[in-house]
Amino acid sequence: MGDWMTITDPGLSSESKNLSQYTSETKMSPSSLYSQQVLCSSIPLSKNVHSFFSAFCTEENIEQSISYLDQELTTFGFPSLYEESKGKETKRELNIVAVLNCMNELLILQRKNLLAQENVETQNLKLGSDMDHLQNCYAKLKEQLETSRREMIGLQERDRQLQCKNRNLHQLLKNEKDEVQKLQNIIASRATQYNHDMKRKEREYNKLKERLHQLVMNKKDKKIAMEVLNYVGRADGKRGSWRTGKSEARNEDEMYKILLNDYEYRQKQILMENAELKKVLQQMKKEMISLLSPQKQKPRERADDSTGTVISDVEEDPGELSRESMWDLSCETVREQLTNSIRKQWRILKSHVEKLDNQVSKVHLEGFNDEDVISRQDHEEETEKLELEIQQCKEMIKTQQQLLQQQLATTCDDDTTSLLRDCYLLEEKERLKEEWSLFKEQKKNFEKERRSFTEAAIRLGLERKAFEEERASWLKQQFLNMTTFDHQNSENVRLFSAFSGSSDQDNLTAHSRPRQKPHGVSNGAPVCSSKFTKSLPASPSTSDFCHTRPCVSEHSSINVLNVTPEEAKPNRAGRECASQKWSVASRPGSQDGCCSGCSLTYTNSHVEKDDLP
Amino acid sequence: MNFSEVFKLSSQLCKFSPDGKYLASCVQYRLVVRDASSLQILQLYTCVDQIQHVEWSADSLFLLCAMYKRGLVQVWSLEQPEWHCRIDEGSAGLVASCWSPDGRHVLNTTEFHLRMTVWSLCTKSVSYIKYPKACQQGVSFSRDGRYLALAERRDCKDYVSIFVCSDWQLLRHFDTGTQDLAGIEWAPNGCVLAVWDTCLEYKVLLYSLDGRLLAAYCAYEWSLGVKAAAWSPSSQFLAVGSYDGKVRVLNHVTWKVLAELGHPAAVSDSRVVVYKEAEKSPRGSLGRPACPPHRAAESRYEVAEVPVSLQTLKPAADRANPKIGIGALAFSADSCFLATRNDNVPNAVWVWDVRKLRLFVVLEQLGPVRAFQWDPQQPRLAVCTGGSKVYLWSPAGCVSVQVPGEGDFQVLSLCWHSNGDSLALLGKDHFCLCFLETEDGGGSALGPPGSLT
Repeated sequence: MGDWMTITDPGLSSESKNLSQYTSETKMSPSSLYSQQVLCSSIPLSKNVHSFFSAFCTEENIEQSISYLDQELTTFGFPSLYEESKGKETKRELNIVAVLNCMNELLILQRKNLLAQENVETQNLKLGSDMDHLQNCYAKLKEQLETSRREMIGLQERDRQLQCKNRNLHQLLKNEKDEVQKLQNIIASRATQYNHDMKRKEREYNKLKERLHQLVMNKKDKKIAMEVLNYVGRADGKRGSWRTGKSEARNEDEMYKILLNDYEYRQKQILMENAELKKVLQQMKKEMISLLSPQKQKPRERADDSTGTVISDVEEDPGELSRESMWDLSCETVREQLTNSIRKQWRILKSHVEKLDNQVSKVHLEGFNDEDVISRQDHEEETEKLELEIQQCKEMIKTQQQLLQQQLATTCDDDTTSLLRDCYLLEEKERLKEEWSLFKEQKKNFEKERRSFTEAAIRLGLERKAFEEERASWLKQQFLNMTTFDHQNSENVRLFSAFSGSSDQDNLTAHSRPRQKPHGVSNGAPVCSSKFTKSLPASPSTSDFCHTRPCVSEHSSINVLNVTPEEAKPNRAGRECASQKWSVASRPGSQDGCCSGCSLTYTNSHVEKDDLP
Repeated sequence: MNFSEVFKLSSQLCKFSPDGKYLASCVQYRLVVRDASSLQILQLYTCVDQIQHVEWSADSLFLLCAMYKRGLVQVWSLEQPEWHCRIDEGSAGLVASCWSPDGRHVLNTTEFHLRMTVWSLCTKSVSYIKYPKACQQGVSFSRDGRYLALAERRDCKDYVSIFVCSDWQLLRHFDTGTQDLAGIEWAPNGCVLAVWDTCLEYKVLLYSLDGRLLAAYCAYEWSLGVKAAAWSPSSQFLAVGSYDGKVRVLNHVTWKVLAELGHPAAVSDSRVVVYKEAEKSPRGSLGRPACPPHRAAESRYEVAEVPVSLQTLKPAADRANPKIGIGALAFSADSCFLATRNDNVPNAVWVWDVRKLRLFVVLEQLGPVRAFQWDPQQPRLAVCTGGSKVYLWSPAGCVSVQVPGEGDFQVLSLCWHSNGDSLALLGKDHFCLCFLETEDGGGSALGPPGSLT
């Protein structure tokens, strides 16, 4: 676009102006690049026209050009550029108005054309994109079709294979079945043959046996004999009896007797079993009745269908029960009654139990759900909380570790890094642990000391207060003595005194705080905070002290302290203390030095404190 | 647990007398009768040849010694040592000999099962029974000694004859619907006779004393059938072991199957206790003097974690009498337990709980189980595997006991004394007695539950 702008003649021919107007329009409208390009391509054409124009008309050939234009325009249906000639001889005048009109019309036409062209182009573009889209779609669908066709072919192939396999298996099955059938037939035929052979052989065998029997037995074999010293008596002491028809009958009788006995025995057993079972049934029935009868009141109110039968049953039951002797008769009717009533009762009981079960399960479900939801929520919350806590703790630990490492890095120069690495040796650790315990003990002692010191501080505070009061009273007296003092003066004095007091406080807190805070001894703190409203933030001093502690205890790695990054806030006196301790603690080996250092700070602060009032 | 000294023995012929007072054992041609508790020799009888079979009469008064090679039976009296009886079957030969339940008759089976001779010791009378069937278990006396059931074969058909033992009168004679009858057995109550067919066909028939067919049972067809059968002492159950490795328990009311007890090689039921015999290394017994080097290592039972897979034997399918199926089964005296052995899992004894009809315990031995027998008084099972140990199981637990004595004493068979206090352990050439009643009165080994030694 810009190029074109520069190209256009600044002479401002009307056409180029229009064009520029048009282009500025397009420039304003967020048209696509393509359309711009199209436009660009259209522009050179107009430019050519323009240049052609400039070449077409020169000073010399104005007349010719005008006439040519006139001719051209008239052929296109425009009015003539010349005025209506009055006479043939007179030279025709150029009609400016007509020229302008023509020009205007041409311009309008041009604009229209351009517009139409643009429309057409956009449409063309649209259609082109549509076409592209459709082509894409077509390609995709074609692809899809292809793939599905391939899939189908694959599936068909598989189907065919499976069918083939199935056929084969069927064939195999059939074969196997045939085989089985055949084998069974063979077995059967073999069996019959075998049996036949066996029979034949057996017959032969029997014949042989018979023959042998005749040969062996009938020959009055002398050898077949029994030698016995003397015949012994029968076991039962009786004499042997002759075999007669009578004995046969007796044997029969005996046999039947035995059988009868056996059957009787079995019958007795069965009767006993039956009696037992009946007893159980009866008992069950009784229990059922007793179980169901108290609940009957409720169902009756509920107008249950089954209640009627139940009640009638119960009513007839006592009668039955009274005739207990009936149970012993295993009469069909009694049995039926019993089983029927039991069945009825059982049905009732079953439905009742089912009802109860349903209720219970419902209640259970509801109760469970409620509780479950609540408990789960609680649980989740709790777990979330705990997780958060854990996260925090982890972070804390991490920062702590980082700080420790930083400290280590700062405390140990490059020369001592190797030494430091050695510090991690187990023995070192052990030693440090011992030291740590020693240190702890000492700390305890210090704490004790501090407590006494705080007490002393309290005392001092009180004393100071008293002193202040005394001073105030003295001042007052003085003031009273000096009667001429006006009101304002006295106020000034008071202000001043208050101011001086606060400055003292500053000093006091600066030195007393580091000693009190880090170990969480609260008895010192209230004194300060209650007495001196303008107390310094506690954290710097605390953290300063904390600095020292990890430094000493880093190898024992017992406590993990939360060191905030704001610790760097300077508290002058505290920093002094810290630095003092620092120098001591950086020699981890020297327990005594450390302790003395600590004690030094304490004593220092103590001294300062003493100096305070 | 005490062991007697080792005595000589031949052909594993050693029997306690039915009254429990005596112990008869055979050494070659000599018959030795000892006191069952003191083991002192009471009588010594000399037979004419090597004894092949010995049997006490039911009243413990007589002893029968059979010498099949000679076709000869000698009977000895315990009361009158000088009394003797000699039965010669002559050229007919002899293949089996037994006492009748009254102890006054001897039943001899001739060669080729031509006939059975009933010799009476009271009278001169001799009875013959023709056509006895040559089969696995063709003779069965009822428990009360009243009846004899005998399998017969006539005209290629199986028959069963029931005789009254008091006078050998034929009571019933009926044909059984069997192809080739293999065994018969009276129920202990003497009212039902179980008859089973040859292994080629699974068929179990139950006959009443009066010859009525009560029931017929066939589990399957076209396969090898019944291998062994046993009645429970209560006559309530008939356990039928078959070649398919299952025991089918029939009940005595409907004669239908109560349970099918399979014997898979893998025991997976967690309720089953599997006792596995494990060899103890000799150095485990440091307290004792060092074992002689020739003696087998001691063993003990370990409770194996289920699932357990037992050692199985691949049977030769092309040979007759394949080593598969339930070859031995026995109920305990109180009918509460059933012990079985599956022949293709030769090292294991299955003990089933009859009340729950499920597997209770499996004993897996190091060697193949030779024999097992229940204590006649209590649920206690003695097992031997042909090694120098005897194994006892009771619901309280399981022990493996080394038989003391020099040399390798191989226990091939065992038999209980009728009161369950002692156990005769029979080896190839020796036997010894194992007394389970401890002398200090601390209770018998494995006796009451919990007294596991």
